[in-house]
Parts: sequence; C-alpha cells; structure tokens
Amino acid sequence: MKKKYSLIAAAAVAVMAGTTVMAMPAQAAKPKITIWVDAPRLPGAKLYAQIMKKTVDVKVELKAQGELVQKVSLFNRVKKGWPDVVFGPPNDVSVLRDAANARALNDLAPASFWKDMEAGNQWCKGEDGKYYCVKNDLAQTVLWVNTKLMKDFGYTVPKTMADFEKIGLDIAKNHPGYSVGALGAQGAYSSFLWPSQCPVNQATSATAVKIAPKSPKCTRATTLLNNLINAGVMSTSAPWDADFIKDFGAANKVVMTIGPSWFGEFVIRPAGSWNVPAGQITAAPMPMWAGEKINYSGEWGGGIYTVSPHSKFPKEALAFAIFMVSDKRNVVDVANPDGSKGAPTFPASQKGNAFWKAKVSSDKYYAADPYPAMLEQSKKIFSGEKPVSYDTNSAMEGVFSNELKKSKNAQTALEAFATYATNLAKQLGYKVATS
Amino acid sequence: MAKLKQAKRKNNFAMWVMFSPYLFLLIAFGLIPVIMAILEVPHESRVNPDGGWDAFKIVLQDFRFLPAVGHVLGFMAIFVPTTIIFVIAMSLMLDLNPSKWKKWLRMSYIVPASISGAVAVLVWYAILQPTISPIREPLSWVGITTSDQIWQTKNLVYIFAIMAFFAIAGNWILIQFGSLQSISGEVIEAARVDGCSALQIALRIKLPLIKKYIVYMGVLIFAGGLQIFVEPELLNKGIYLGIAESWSLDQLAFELAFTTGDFGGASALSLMLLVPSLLGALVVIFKTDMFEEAEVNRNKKAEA
Amino acid sequence: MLKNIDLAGRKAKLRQENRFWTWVVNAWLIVFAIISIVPMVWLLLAPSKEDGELTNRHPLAFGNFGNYVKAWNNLQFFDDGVLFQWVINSLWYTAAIVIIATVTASMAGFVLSASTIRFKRAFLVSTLITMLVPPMALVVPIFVLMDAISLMDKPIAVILVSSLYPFGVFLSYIYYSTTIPKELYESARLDGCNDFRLFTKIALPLSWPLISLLAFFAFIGNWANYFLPYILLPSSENFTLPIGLGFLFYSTPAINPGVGATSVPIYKPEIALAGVLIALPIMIVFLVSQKRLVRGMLAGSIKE
Repeated sequence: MKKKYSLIAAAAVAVMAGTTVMAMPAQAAKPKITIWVDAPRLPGAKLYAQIMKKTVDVKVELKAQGELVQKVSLFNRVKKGWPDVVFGPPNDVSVLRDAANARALNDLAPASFWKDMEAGNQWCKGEDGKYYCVKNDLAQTVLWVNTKLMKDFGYTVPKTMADFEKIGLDIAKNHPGYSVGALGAQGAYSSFLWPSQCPVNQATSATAVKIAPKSPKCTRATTLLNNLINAGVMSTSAPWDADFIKDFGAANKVVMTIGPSWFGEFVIRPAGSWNVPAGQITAAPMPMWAGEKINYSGEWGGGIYTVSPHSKFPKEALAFAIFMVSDKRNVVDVANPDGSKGAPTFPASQKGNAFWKAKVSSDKYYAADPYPAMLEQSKKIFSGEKPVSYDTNSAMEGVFSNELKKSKNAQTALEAFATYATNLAKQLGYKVATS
Repeated sequence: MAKLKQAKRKNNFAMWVMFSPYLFLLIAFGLIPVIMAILEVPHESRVNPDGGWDAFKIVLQDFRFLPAVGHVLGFMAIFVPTTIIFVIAMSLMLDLNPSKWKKWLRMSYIVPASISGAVAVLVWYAILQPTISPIREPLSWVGITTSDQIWQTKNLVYIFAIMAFFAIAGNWILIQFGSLQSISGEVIEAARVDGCSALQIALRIKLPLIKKYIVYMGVLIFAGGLQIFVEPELLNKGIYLGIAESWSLDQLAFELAFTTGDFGGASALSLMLLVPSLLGALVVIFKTDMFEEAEVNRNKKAEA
Repeated sequence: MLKNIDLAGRKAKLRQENRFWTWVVNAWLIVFAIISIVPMVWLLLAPSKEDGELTNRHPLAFGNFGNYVKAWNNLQFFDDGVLFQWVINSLWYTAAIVIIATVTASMAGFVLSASTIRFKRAFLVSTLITMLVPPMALVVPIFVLMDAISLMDKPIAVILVSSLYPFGVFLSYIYYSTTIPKELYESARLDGCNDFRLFTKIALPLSWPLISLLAFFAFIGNWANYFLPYILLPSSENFTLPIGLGFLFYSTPAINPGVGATSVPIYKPEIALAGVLIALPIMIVFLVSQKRLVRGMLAGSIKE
C-alpha cells in the first residue's frame, strides 16, 4: 500500500517538474535476481553467480522440477516470492503462462541470440509467435547401442522398428537375460509413442488437444512393445530403478535401447548408474516405423528457462539462461560434483552446441562418435506433440507407468493414461478430440 | 455462598490473564481458520468461474474425488481395524504374564514410532525395495524380486497401511497395556477362581473395563487415517513420480489449492473432511464417559 | 463333591494348556519385538556403508565409522550446507513450540481446574474437540489465514500454530484437578494469595511431573511434523529437518535417480543419515520416557 502511494507521489513530482524521464539514481541498486534450478543445473548456476558477483546479485536456489508449479501457484496467491528465472520441465511453459508467470522474452535479448536459438527453440514459441521460454537442451531420442554386445551376438544396428523388434525377440530366444530397454518413467512415451506420432499431447490450439490412444499410430507402437515385454526383453521399470540397474544396467546386459540424447552422460556412463565400461557405447539414428518417410524422434525432458513477469530485472534473468545454454564455461567446463565436466545434455543453442560437440566427439568413452546421430535426430523431433496446460508428465509417469507395471500391456496403459489426461484437460476447459 | 462467588468473579481477572494466551491460540488457530475457510469457498477460480457455493459440488464432481475417497476408505478399512485388533491383542498378551524382562519387549515395540512421516517413507522404501531390503530373503520366498512387483498404485493401500500401522501401533500397545495394568488385581483373581480361562478373562472382564480407551484410540486412529498426506505425497513427488497423484483426500485438497490455484475448492474439501473428525470427537466426548468422569469428579468435589 | 474333583482335573489340564499357550504367546511377543526394531537397525546401519554396499552386502551388515563422517560431509555439500541450517531450524522451532505450548497449556489447565471463570464448560468442550480433530484437517484453512495476515514463510507462523496445544491443556486440567485439593486454594486465598500467586506458589511447585509430560508430548508431536511447515515455510532456508529430508528425496539422485547420478553427491547412505538425525532424537526421548507416554495418554484416569 505504502509503496503505491510513494509511487504516485513520485509520479506527481515528476509531472510537476515537467520532466519526461525520471532521474533514477542509476547506481543505487545492484540488480538482484533469484534463480531456481534442479540438481543437474546447480553447478552451472553457482558458477554464474560467482562470475556475476560484481555486477549482479545472484541468489541460486535448488528446486526439484516437480515443485515448480505448486510453488508458483502459492506465490501467486500470496503475491510475492516469485523467482526471477526458473529451470523446469518443458511442459511447464504452458502451465506457467496460464498461471501468468512466464513472460514473452523477445525484447530482452539481442536478435543474434534468437537467431542462434531459432532451430532449437520451436517448443517455446507461443501461438502469437513470441518466445515464452528458452530451451536448455534438446532431448531427442536416438538409438543407443552397445557395439560390443551387438558384435558378440552378431547383430547389425536396426534401421527399422521391425528390425528392432526382430532383434529383441531373437535376444529373448538366444540370449535370455539381456535387454533392449526400460519403459518406466517417460520411456515408452518419448522413445516409442511420440516417434510413432501417436497423439498423446497433440494440442491443436490453446484450448483443444487430441488424445487418441486407439489411432493406428499408437497401436503399432503398443503392439511392438507388448511383444517385447512378453518376450522378457523390455522392462517396465525405469532405466534408473534399482532392480533394472542391478539386473541389466550395471550387469552390462543392455544390448541396445532407445533413449534421449542425455542417456549417455546421465544414465549409461556414471559410476552410480549403469557404469558401462568405456569403448562399448555409441548412438545411432532412430529406426524408422514401417510406411514412414522420416525416422522421427520424441523428447524426454529438454528443460526450459522461463522468466517471471514479476521480475524487476528480466534482462539479467534472461542473461542467466543465455549463459547456461551457450557459454562454454557452463556447457563444457563447469565441474560437477562427481568429477565429470560440463552439461550432460545436448545444448539447444547452436553456439553452445558447437562447444558440446567438440567435447563429446573427442570423448574416448564412446566406441564411436555419438554426435552425428544426435544431430540428425535433433532435426527430426516430431512437432505434433505440444505443451499443454495440465501436468501431462506426471500423468504419464504415474498413470501410464503404473498401469503398465500392473497389466504388462502397453495399450491398456495408454488407454488408462488417455482417460486420466482427458479428465485433466476437460477440467481446464480443453476440447478433447479422440480421433 | 452467592457473595463468595461474586468475590471470586471479581478476582477472576488474574485467571483470565493466565487463560488468555491459550484462548488466543485456540481462537486464532482453531476457530478463525475454519471461518476463513468458509469465507474462502465461494471465491471464483478457473474451475469455478462464477464463484459461489457450487465449489462444494465442483469438488464432489472432480474426477479425482471419488478415486481418492476409494483410496482413503480402502486404506482405512485395512489400517483401522487391523491396528485396533492387533493393539488390543498385543496388550492383552503382554498383560497375560507380566514379567520383568518383558520391559525390553515393550521398549522394542515403541521403536518404530520414531520412524514417522518423511523418515517412514525413506525406511519403507528401503524395506520394500528388493535390492536393498533388510527382508529381501523373506520377500524372495514369496516371489518378490523386483520393485515393480511392489510399487504399483493398487498396492498402495497396503503399503501405507503398513507404514501407518508401525508408526502408531507401538505407542498404543503401551498405552492399552497401561490401561490394562490399571484394572485391579482382585477382579481378575476373582474371575480366575471362578474358573475363567485366560482368554475368557481377557474378553469378558478386561476388555469391557478398558472399553472407553479403545473408543478413544479408535477415534484418534480413524481421524488420523482420514488425513493421510505425507506418505503418498512424498512417494509421489520424491520416489515414484506420479504413483500416488492425488491419491488421498488431503493430497487432492493440496493439489486443488497449489496446482489448480483453486483455494475455494481446497477449502470446501477441507471443511468436508473436518466433519467426520468432528463427529468422531463428539462421540468420544458425549457418548463415552472418558472425559465426563473428570468433570463429574470435579463437580462432586466442588459441591462437597 | 464330584464337582470339586472335576474342577481340580480341569485346573490341571488348564495349567498344562496354559504353559503351552504362554510359550506361544511369549514367542510371538519376541518375534514382534524383532520385527519392530529391524527397520530402525537398518536405518542406523545404512550410513555406515557405501551406496553400492547397500545392495551387495548383507542389509544389516556394518560398514565402517568413516562412512558416517563421509556421508555427513557430503550432506554439507548440499546447497552450501543448508542442512546445518535445517538442524538449527528444527531445534529452535521445536524449542520455541515446546516452551510456548507448555507454558500456555499449563496455565490454561490450571485456570480451568482452579477457577470459576465464565464459559468454563464451553472452553473445556472446545478444547476436547480441538484435541480430537487432527491438526492436518486445518492446514489449508490455516494457510488461507496466514496468507491474509502476511505471516507466510515466517517461522513464527509454524511456531504459533503448533503452540496451540489442547491435549496439553486437557492433561494439565486433569492433573491439577486430581493432584491439588480444592481446599489448598481456599486456604491460600484466605491467606491473601491472589490468583497469580496461587498458580506460581501452590500449583507450579507441585507440577514438575506435569511440565515434563507436557514438554515430552510437545516435542514428539512437533519434531517430525511435516504438513504444516511444508505449506507455511516454502523457502529452503526456513525448512525443518523433515521437510529437508523430503526435499532431498526429490532433488537428489539418492532414491529418485531420475535426477541424475552426476549432479549431487547425495546417495542412499547420505539420505539415511539425514533420516537418522530426525528419528534418533525421537527414539531416545521415547525410550527414556515411555512410562510418561502411557501415563499421559491415559490422562490421569489411572487410579494411582
């Protein structure tokens, strides 16, 4: 209240003095921003705070991706406490816009930056053509292959999904105990349903979405998955569930798996995870579904930065995001607590991506350079799937995954998800099309 | 007599001063929130665009409401009777042949009570995770070797019932054992002389004598169970994402408030949840002599 | 005559049966004691092992003491040692709550028992109702209230709300009613004592057992509380240990490996150590004062 009055008073004084520009004491306050990041982004954010120490007061707070929306809603209610810039899961852009907490960013960065981001930032483009977020990374799926196992077993890298299935069934028969992946969390969605163009989140406008689990684009994927699940080579756990790690990941029994571009640095390689030895892993392009012309990818994650309209220093807030996606110091140099360096993810910025390419391509860990396949697939993310204003990710990881564990039937699971998501969507006023 | 009373009333100023801090807390955090919640209900929100008391109806029609009711009822149907029966049985068994060394048993029973809330989620995650479980052998005997055999939404009623059971059973065993100890030995001896077996004594003599404590326990367990929140919330957000999304009614209230921003609906749901707890409280207060006794004693003394 | 012989025979048979059943009952009591302590033993031992050893070695094996130190240091790394802040927060919030709750409750209980203030019965009944309604039921309404009076994200909000202690008031009401004879007050009044002095000079000196009982229940009720601070204190520098533990769940790869193994050095042993920090103090308090627990929950109704 007081603040308002003083503002009015200040305005009155300015008018009386006949000045058009308020003479604000320029050096009065060092800009102060609050940043929210999740754990993998923490080292980079801390580095940024240190670099900017002299010019911007940066407060870094660690937050889990899942808490974001609830906290924002709480802040909306108490009308204070919003962080200036947050890192979150990609679907949040729509949820946060709905909660009036994601501003358009175009005027906050030079045109050169937007040009650099043009290819990578399509997800963030609103229907009005403005960018409402900055994409940290692309999480396009690729086919991760264990070259040693493939060679030992005499398989060649599958080019079509039919081949992928055939190899899976052959492994079941001739090499039981080995695996072609895990479907838990968002595995089934990002690696199979999305690349198959199954309408799961096909938002056609801000108030209409297509959820069509019985479409042939869906059933071909679920049929294939059911065959592999029944054969015992496809797990319904998540790739980081303790039992999957124990039985397959750390036992080095995953022959190949479709997974996002960050799988290598984040799931396959780390000592606490699968810990696959050096010289065995590489990435190949996605296998093609029968009758298609393009071997599409889906995405798993690929987080975004949003800037709050309540931020007093939106430029400084966005500058942080720019640093994270394109500055060499974060993309390849920053020291992670486990001793590894740089971001594990495929930067969405071309500039950042070039640094990252240099790092990954020269990395002796990989049996062959995984970058070309990643690059190819980064241009083939099927764009029908869109951000929606409800929490579709939780529904996927919850309803779908649970139903899949229970029924061991991907189609049943997908339909359970569809029912739940349809309810969520309708509650927010969406029109839901089912075909 | 009348004069004395008047004199006392005058002096009551000091009494009011000593009572006021509690009275303040009672009104501020016991009564006012309920009023605030009632006032909050008719506010407009995205799901209740016109505002008004429809908020109740909207919550009741929310597609997550009935499943949440089902979950909570299922959980309570397992947890409440099992706990009550088990606690009574255990305390009767302890009371059967009390001996010194059983003090150690009683102390052991209370240990799991210190594992509650967030810690309980952590510990039970570990116990029900076949790779690291301290009971992985027993689990494998019944054919459980992977986590996805256990961590499914349909199993949650049992899992939360186990968590809740261990968090409170030990305390209640001790308390009911204490109440059994308060039964005079003569009554038991008399029954024994009459040829009653231990079981008969337990069921016919001891149980009726501690009935009111059992009702008291029942109401507290019931009211607590209705409000299950921490366990599903943490499991859902921190361990298996989405496994218990809006699983319990309190979670749904939380979800309505902080994800949908529908504080009216959340308040409406909270108020609806308050009703059964209130009824339970009134039953204990007015239908058992649990609290009357103290009252009556007081009055008797005062009259004398 | 015949009847007597029959009875003797039955008694002998009963005794034999008794011995068998006593054995069965004792065996079960011991088995349940073991079941009860296994989770805690696992929790205490977990930080002594490396993350991998939790899977590879026997779940109840002991690693080495160095790993506790290592786990502690890794926890320090988390968010610049914010964990230490959580420990401090938990300590001072709980201390403040224990003090305020104990003081207000003992005074209020005294007033209810020793005075003739108006609405006494109404206060007593509303205290009982508040005591039997689980505090969770009011969390959303309390949020609405705290928001309205701008106390969100301020520790005082949690401290004040948690200091409402109807159970303590009831406990002290019973205690004062049963231990201090009315005549004592009367004679003191005749000696010119005012009501303040009545409390400080007569009631208080007799009430140390009560005070420790009140403090005990206030401590165990609040040390591990989750829902209320979770909603009222959203900033991580204001977290308590239980909220912090929940936060570790979902922001580190320990049991939510989806977060990524490379990001923070918090794994299961570290998180178990955080769990130990919460559970151990409660367990110690429980074990030390288990008798009090029983006496308190039976609220003085046990005839001594």
